[in-house]
Amino acid sequence: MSVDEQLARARLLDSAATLYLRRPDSSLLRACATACGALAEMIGAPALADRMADTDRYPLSTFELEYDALFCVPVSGRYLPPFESAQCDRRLWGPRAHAVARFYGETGFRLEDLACDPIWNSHPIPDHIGFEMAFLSALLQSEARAEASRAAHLRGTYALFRHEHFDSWATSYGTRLMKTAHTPLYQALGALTVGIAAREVAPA
Amino acid sequence: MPVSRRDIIKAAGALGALTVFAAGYAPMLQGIAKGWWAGEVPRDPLSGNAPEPEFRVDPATGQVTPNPNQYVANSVCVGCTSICGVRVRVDRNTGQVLRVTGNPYHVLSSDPYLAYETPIEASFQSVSRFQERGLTYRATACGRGNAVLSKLYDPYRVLTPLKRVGKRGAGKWQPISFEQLVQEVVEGGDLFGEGQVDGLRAIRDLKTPLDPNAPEFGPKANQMLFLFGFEEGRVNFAKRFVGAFGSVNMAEHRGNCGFSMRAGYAALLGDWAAQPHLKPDFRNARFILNIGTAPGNAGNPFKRQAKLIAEGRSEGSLNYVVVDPVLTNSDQLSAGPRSRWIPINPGTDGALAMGMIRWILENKRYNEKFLSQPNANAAKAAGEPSWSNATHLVIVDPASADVGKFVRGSQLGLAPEGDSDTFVVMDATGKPLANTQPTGPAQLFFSGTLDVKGTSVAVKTGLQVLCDEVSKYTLDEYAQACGIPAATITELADRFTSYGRQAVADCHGGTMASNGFYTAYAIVLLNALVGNLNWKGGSSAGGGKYQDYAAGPRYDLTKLPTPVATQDAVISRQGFAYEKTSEFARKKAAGEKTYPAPAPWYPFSTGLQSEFILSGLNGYPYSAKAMILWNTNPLYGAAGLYESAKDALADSKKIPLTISIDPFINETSAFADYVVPDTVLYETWGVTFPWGGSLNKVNSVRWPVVEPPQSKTAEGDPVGMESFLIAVAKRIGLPGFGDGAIADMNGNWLPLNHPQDYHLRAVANVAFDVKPVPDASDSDADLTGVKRVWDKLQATLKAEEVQKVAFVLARGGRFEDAAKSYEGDWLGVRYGKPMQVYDERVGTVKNSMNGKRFIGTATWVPPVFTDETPVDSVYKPSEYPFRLVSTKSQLLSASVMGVTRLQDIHPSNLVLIHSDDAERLGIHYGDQVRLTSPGGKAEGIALVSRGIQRGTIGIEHGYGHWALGASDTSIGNTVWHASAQRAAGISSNRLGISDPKRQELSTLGDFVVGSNARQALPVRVEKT
Repeated sequence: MSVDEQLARARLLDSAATLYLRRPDSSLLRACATACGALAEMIGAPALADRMADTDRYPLSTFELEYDALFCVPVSGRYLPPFESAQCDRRLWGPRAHAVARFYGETGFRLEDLACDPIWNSHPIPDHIGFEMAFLSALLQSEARAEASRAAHLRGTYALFRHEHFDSWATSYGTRLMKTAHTPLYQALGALTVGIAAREVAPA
Repeated sequence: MPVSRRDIIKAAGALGALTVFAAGYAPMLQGIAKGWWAGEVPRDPLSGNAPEPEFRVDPATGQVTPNPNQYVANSVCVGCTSICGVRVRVDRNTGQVLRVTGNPYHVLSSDPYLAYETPIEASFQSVSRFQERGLTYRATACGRGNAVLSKLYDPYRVLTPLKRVGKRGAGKWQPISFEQLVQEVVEGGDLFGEGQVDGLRAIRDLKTPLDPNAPEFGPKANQMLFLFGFEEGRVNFAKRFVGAFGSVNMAEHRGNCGFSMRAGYAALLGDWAAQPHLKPDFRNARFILNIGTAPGNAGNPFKRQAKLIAEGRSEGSLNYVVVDPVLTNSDQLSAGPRSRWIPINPGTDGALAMGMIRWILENKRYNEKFLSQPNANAAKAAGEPSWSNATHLVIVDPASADVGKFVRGSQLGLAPEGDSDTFVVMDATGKPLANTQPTGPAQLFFSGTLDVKGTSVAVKTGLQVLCDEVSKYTLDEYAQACGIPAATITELADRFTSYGRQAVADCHGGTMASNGFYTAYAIVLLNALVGNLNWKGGSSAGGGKYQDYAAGPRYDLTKLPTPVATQDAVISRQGFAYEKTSEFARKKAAGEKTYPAPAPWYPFSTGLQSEFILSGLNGYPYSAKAMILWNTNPLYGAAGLYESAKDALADSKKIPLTISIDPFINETSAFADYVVPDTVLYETWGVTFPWGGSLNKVNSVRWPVVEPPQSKTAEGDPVGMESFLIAVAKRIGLPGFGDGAIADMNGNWLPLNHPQDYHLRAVANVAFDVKPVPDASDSDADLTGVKRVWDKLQATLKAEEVQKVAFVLARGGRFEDAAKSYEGDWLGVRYGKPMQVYDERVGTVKNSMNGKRFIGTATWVPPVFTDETPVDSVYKPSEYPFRLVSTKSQLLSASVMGVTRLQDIHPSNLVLIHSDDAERLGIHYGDQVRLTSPGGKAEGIALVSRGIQRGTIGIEHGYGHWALGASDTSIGNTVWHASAQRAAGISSNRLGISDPKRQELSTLGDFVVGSNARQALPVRVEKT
């Protein structure tokens, strides 16, 4: 993987993490509208691009309600708990969450420093999909700037984390999100998650 | 579907604003660069770089293997006012505190707690897996207690004496030597280039009257004020200094914290001097009604209450109700119907309690057997461990000069002339008797006349007075006032009276509105109606303590070589009646209007810090020349005080010399002229005790388990409260300091030149009281680090005292055996005075602002100003539709702001508003909102919830600092830059209000006792 590609992939993970971790507001929707064309093309759903770009068609509260229903409110009827333990072990704060926290602790990755909605990082649950994506992004960023021996360690950590955690649930979660979401924004986020989770990178 | 490289790179370029790395990747890179994968190998594959355990216990054999690199010191936490016993792990090599947890000997941290004679090594077993003892003696520190140790290493800690540079409050300081500090504050001079400032030597004038026209104000020495935080083990030393100085003016934080509760209990328990208060016997109570306090979320002792409440609801038979405008953690869904939250309108708890009392009296659900006993002997004969004055006759005739007083037996010839302790009751036939006469019950309800020395006067029994008072309003009117349906009030009253003696009503800081005293009196009177005092599962006034700073078995720490008299009117007008002042006499003699007084007088109050400061600034009743603040922060802690006092405090002519003894520069010490560093947490000596919640004797002992980092005096002591006051006292020549200062039991006078000269002798009193404690073993002293202060023990104490004092230090105090908790169905330690359904002291005093006599029993009054004008009639709900309350934080307290581990968990507070109110105002969760009261403005982030009463705004206390590291401070050539973390959130006290019925600088206070009104403040809310 070239440095450019590595950094680009990091940005992609960062962006997806942002959509999971930040409650929608007008600035976030504007940023989505700007990026939607490239994103939609990348995830192979160009039809989504127009709908994503047309965020003005919905009031902000629509996105807020969708966000709450999908990620925050267990009794919404459409709740998809965005936690690895919940998806894999049917419980919160299972062994997977602790294992993920160990990765963060050992690498000094601080969830508190992330710019996200306070509901996520005031009492963080480490195996939130957004945190896992942010962590992978940080690893890629760090690797791109590291000297060779350290980069190798980083690459190893990245691979290990993907293998033991992210890859084991991200595809299925993204798929469910695509089906459950009502708004194009969160349908696209599901597709983006599936795209990111794909292990192989196709040739240009 | 795999994503192509080209698409990724193309998409990434368009992702500009979508990032969670607001501060860029650099901070992340720094963090990641420290990981194991970067080449660092953790010390242990499982526990990483966590500190090594302090000891290991073989779970099979119980073999203890101490870690030779650590010691485990039992000491005291002062992270809040609960003052729990903690176990402090210290690295012997670095002297750093590693971790803090609970002391298994201490009742506030472990229940059951270890037998006192248990060797220290065996105490290690007790918290281990050996025989699963750790499950029994699970000694804990709370979240705050675990984390507060970082205050020891706080970057904003003051380590050397400071003197202000430029204007007061400008945030600029220069370090000075200890010698310069003492010289300047004692001798005075042109200290700041602003003109002459009197030093403490000149201020200590014991002969010249402060005001020749008002001899009750005493000598000029009273112009020195001393304000401190709370009884955390060292206050007796400060009291000794202030007493020797000759000032009567000393105040703690109580008036800002929970004094209305204390006052309510003082009235109930008939002791305004000591102000004891009751706590449920949590272990055996079956129903606890918490009004204005939420066990496990607030109250004192915070941690013990939480543990016992949790155990009681899950394993015992406890049911409890929390009445509070805000839903707290005390209500647990997991407890099912055993816990219940009832929201209430702020400042109306008194209406609820009075409604309950009305129902209880009307339906005869009170405990007649208890209430009708007129004396202690009759009570004992009836099988009651306490009694009340419900049957005592009160003069209610407004024409009588004795209105409000109890009828005395001596007035009817039933007791010797001059006897004032014998009261009068009615027997079943309507014949008056001395209350000491009957061996059985007397009439509970009586209203009629009595011939008192030839005059017919109207009298009522105490309970009749209460009954008539409670009947002023209907149940529906009480319900209307408090926002709780009449059916719920009835249900509560029914339930409260359905558990015999095992039902207890408690209250605390939620009563701190301007009607707080009567609110608290009404709530705690519920305990009298069921007669629960001194019963197992009922209420307890505490188990007491062994003698410490008293005239003890080894030393008399109360005595000065030359006594100094201090019996004059306190500057805050507390503890002194307006009618006894020369001012009142002059006005009366001149035929002038005597009421209102220029400011309220509070004849039975203590600890009114806000009134202390403002009286000194106002110059009424007299002015102040010097103010010493020790570990206290009233400008942050008292509602409205900062806005009222800030300008006058900045004027150095008002109180010319202000000294703050404090490890930190807080909102109040920011206005000081000098800051004197002080010891923190586990660095200090002292002996304290739990405020309540223990049924046995407890003394919690502090000793310097680590070396304080601040500068030292020439004598080698850390600069701190004790060493500073010793140096000042010696320079002035105060009695009781220096050589020949402390009396031992043989009449010898011993020196007080070091902090330990005083505190260690208090520990010696504790060690020798009742039955002397055993000697400490070498192992005890070594494992706990007591060896590090061994030279001080030997230099200070008599030879026979050293090992016994070491025994007490090693265990962090002295703790009576829990087996003494009960005697059958009664408590082992029982409160001796009667419960007062009627308080004569209150009932005979007039409100100095309107001349109206106070009512001597509980009554319902809405929040009012000092002249009893309702707050709502001035600050109308149409303009201020919400009522503000402050709520307790489980993690933060005002003084622990800046503890990173706590703020990582809970970085800021929010403005709590009911979802119905929020919807009406268009406020969403996360919106920035502005709160406006008649006293100030503040902004915060909205938290929309159904966990708050409608029409109420809740703010968690402890946040929203503007000093204590929250603003830039210059120390010499160094700038301590402000920390945004320390300024996080909002402080409700910035919205406190002054009293528009007072002419001078003021804060709103309770109209009877003056406690600061920080609850039920009028505010309006708007989205910014």
